[in-house]
Amino acid sequence: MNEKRIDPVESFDSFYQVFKQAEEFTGESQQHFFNIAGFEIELRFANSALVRQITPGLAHLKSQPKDSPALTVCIWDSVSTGEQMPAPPWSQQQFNARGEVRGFYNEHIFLSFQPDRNILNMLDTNRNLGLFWIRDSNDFPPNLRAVPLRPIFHWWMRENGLLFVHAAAAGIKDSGVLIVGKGGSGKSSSALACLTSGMLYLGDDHVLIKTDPEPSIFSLYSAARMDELLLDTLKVKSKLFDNTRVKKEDKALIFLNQLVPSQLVPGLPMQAVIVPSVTDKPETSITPVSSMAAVRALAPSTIFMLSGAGKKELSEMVKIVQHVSCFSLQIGNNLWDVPELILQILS
Amino acid sequence: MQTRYKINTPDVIYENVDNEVLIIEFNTGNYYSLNNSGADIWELLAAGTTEARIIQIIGKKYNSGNEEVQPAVDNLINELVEEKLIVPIKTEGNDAVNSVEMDISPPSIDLAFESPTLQKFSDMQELLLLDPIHEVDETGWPAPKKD
Repeated sequence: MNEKRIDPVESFDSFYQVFKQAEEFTGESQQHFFNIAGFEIELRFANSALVRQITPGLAHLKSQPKDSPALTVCIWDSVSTGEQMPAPPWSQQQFNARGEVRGFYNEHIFLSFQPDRNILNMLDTNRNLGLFWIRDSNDFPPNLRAVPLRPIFHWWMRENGLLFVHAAAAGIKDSGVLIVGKGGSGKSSSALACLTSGMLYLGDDHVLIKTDPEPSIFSLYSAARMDELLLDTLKVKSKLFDNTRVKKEDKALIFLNQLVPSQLVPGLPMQAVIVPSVTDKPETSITPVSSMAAVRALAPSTIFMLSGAGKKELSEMVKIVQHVSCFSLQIGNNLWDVPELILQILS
Repeated sequence: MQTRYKINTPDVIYENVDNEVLIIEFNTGNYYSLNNSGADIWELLAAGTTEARIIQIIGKKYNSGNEEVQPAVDNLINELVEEKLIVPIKTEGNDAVNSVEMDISPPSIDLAFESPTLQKFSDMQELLLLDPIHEVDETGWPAPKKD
């Protein structure tokens, strides 16, 4: 096996240099600012090519420019800027499915590479500086518009006391629930049913959570993805999605801040964890469950999804879940029972 | 029976919540659950306790005889080794290894011994599947997919 020795700092600096050259070459640099979980984040684009791909998913958290953001992420592609990347410092055999590169380890520099997409994410926590590169902005995966910069946000938020989790969340003023489960468990449907019923909404697939000073949930992405069945169900209750179309066996990507901005909130205290499951029963019911049942629904998909996630994330998830009540939600034939039951828990 | 084991880190991580252990294995994408006596055995293994001592401790805690406990512990250990969740520790001579002495307060009739069951979940494996590696271009980066 041809394994190359990698210097993380050298790699980071060489890629950052390419970004700066790209920014200078285009002369069209743009800065966009967002407030995520109370932190000011700057997205610095070398040109406009990736702005429409990345910013809509975060638009509900847009904020005013700040002189000293907590984190700056530099974003560019090679095709539109004309700036080519140096040869990758790793061989093909050195990375795994989570985008991690074997032999690449540094306490403050993190890396994730997707070879099928030619997408690179890097973060230097000492400098609070992130890098996002894709070879060609025209190849930006449509699904990624729902979860832009996910690895960078995971790493940086982890260093700053927050946990990036595979979960949905909804609630009412001053009280929210974290809805956990793998794909198909009813997690997203439950959150979107809550939104359609007029409740506050934080996310349908990824949110941030923390324990101190109190268990809390923070919104990150405003996009929701729904298939034809869910869309038809939601349309019965509300006109919100009247203009949304989805192809058969596909999912529609909707930026909810464009439809119901007042219902998208930056954060809520966490009162409970809900573990949904879809059943063929006529009634929907909710019963208390153990913390372990909630951890088992939350942890595996979160950890397997996130580059660099491991023991630290698992321990934090356990700690947070043990601070709140946990419930199993068995979803029956009527999805609209879900918001009612969740409201009962919250009140 | 004097074999000690250790958790197969860094490929394996785990947490104990209310005497139920959740174990995650990164190579396969499988995750596992152990509770009650299974969780006790896992923690003892993690602490480097010998198999013989584990049998003794579990028997005392659950007020159960060797004939019931020993095969159950053996089976679980074999299963954990087969799943690559634990590996034997190579020891030399009389190396002292700190081991956890569990609570062996007088047995309670509520703590009936049941053979531990290792629950295995494989529904996350697809998250770890990697797309076939493409050819690289002249710079060494993977070549874009051709439509």
